[in-house]
Amino acid sequence: MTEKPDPGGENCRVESVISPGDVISFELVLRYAAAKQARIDQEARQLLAGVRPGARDTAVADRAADPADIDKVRAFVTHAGLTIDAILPDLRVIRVSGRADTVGRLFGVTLTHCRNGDISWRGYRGQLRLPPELDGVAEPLGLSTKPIAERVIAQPDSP
Amino acid sequence: MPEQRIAVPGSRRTAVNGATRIQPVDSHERIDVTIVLRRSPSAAQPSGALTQRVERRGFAGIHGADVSELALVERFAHDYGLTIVASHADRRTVHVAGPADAMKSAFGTQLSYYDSPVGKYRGRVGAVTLPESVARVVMAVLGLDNRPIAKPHSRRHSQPEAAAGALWPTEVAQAYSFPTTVNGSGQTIGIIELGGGFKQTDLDTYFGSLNLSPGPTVAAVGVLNGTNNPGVDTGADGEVMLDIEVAGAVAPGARIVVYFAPNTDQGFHDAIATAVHDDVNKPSVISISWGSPEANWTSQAMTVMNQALQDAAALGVTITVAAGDDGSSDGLTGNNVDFPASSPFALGCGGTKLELNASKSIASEVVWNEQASGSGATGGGFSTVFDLPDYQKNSNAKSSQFRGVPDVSGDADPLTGYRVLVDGAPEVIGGTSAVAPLWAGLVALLNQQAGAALGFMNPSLYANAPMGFHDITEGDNGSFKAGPGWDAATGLGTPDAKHLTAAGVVTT
Repeated sequence: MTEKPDPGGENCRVESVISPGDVISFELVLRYAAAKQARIDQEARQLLAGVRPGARDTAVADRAADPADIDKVRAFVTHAGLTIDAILPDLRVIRVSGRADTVGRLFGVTLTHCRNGDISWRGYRGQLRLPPELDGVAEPLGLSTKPIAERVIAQPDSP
Repeated sequence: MPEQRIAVPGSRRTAVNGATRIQPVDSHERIDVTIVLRRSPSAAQPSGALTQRVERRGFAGIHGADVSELALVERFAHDYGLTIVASHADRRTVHVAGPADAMKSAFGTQLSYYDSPVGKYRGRVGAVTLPESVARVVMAVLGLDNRPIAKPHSRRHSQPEAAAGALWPTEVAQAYSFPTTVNGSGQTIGIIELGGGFKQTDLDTYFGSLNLSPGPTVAAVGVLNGTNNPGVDTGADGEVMLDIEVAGAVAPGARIVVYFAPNTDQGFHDAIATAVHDDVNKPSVISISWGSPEANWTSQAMTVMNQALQDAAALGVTITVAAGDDGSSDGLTGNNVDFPASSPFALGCGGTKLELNASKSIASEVVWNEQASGSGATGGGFSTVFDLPDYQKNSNAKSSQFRGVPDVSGDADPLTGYRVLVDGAPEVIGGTSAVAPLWAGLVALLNQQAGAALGFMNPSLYANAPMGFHDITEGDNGSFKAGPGWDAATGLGTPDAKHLTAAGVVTT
């Protein structure tokens, strides 16, 4: 198991544990295809150095998820009792849903309802751990739904 | 003899304007605090500073905290009776919890409840202090003070017509000599929104008032459960309308597609990835006016977000990103920059205060810094995550080994802000939020002019600067002063657009 940092635990006042049978959704973001990683690294270096990228279609194909990785993740997720909601190969995203207790067990956490002031979100307790079947293949995103960003507009004070 | 205590740099806080202290915090109240450590001084730097190599593997080893310094902070917390909830070398954080009394002793501060115009909160005034040996390795202490995350957008101008310095986006474009022979036709501008919504009737009225009727075509795309939902969160509506109205006024012939997603790391990532890969609408430039300090992101979320931005560069899509409105601190203690503006694959957009003369040309332009009056300041500084990219190695940013932010700037001071229409009411709004769509509109014009998408243009902008820019040399954003050439307050400067293409500064 690979430990992953705990996102957004700060200021989470746990109101309750999410009911084990509640269905939650999250996603797994897959790595670049291993066979293409070196080329993508090289291209990123070139982009930062000012080299123009190649054709868009080629870039899209290069950066899509490896079908073998998709199969691996699909098999793992299905075996674990979760549901595949969507597979987006170009985005390297697999959207998944399932019972809260199943998801929590897979990632070594307890899913919770969090609140801070007027803001509430789904968080979790415990150290997130990546199952060995996913280690190096996919990263979970969305287990915590804590608001991540602020808009950056400013308005003058009233006169 | 107890070790001498010193203040954590940048930790000094004042009460929220108009706040009233109610009572001391209950001594037994449990408080959770995150201590952010400096990056390991002995961490090996990758040769060539290859950003994408850094982000994927070995993140902790390259950017993480020194293990002995992590242990030092843990011992300190333990000595003061605090519980170690979690320690993360890669995030450089130690999460501790304990009663208020122990927190006050550990961090040398008093804690009280306050009532304020932005709500009730637990707060402190003055600086956080730590034993000198601990303070040496600590960059920030977060969570003692839980004042509402600033809703800087609640300061609506009750009489926008009285805002003498306010500008129409078209006036700003004229001052920056945006091309007038093109209007963005054939281009699509993508805008990322994590809340709020727009009303077509407002857009029709607004663009009509600028004689841009029928104005740009605007469409909404829902990502995950995101929807165009105006009228619920008026603050977020202000962001959405500002973004559309600025980009649309600058490039009225362009099509605008707004990608609405939930305000979560998943939603943010998927909105960008969806827009970048959108083969139906095919945005050639994407504007992002949302962000959060680097310290607020997990390494895995930052990694996949940065990959989405890297993918955009590889697919020939320009990404403009607001650099933040809280000066060099970005709303935390010490110096911080906002992500995703700090991604080396983003065009980070900072802010200025722009004043025009009667002929609508530039009378003066300085760094936006109105912090003294509570009206914000441009974000800017140096990343603690991303290495100095190649394109900054011949600029003043090379004084640091890290990515400097912003890259470019534009008018953002709310006192010289943009006249917009939000939920049927005229408003004057500023912030670097306005600069990202301003630059996105400019990129759409340049793309049309060039007959192809310029895509990731940071290297060419830096290679040819100061050509194509008004170099801003006066003012500061807190810790960083403007000066000749690139600086961490306004980047390369504001656009002198007629020279961006004429001199081949940006080419396809």
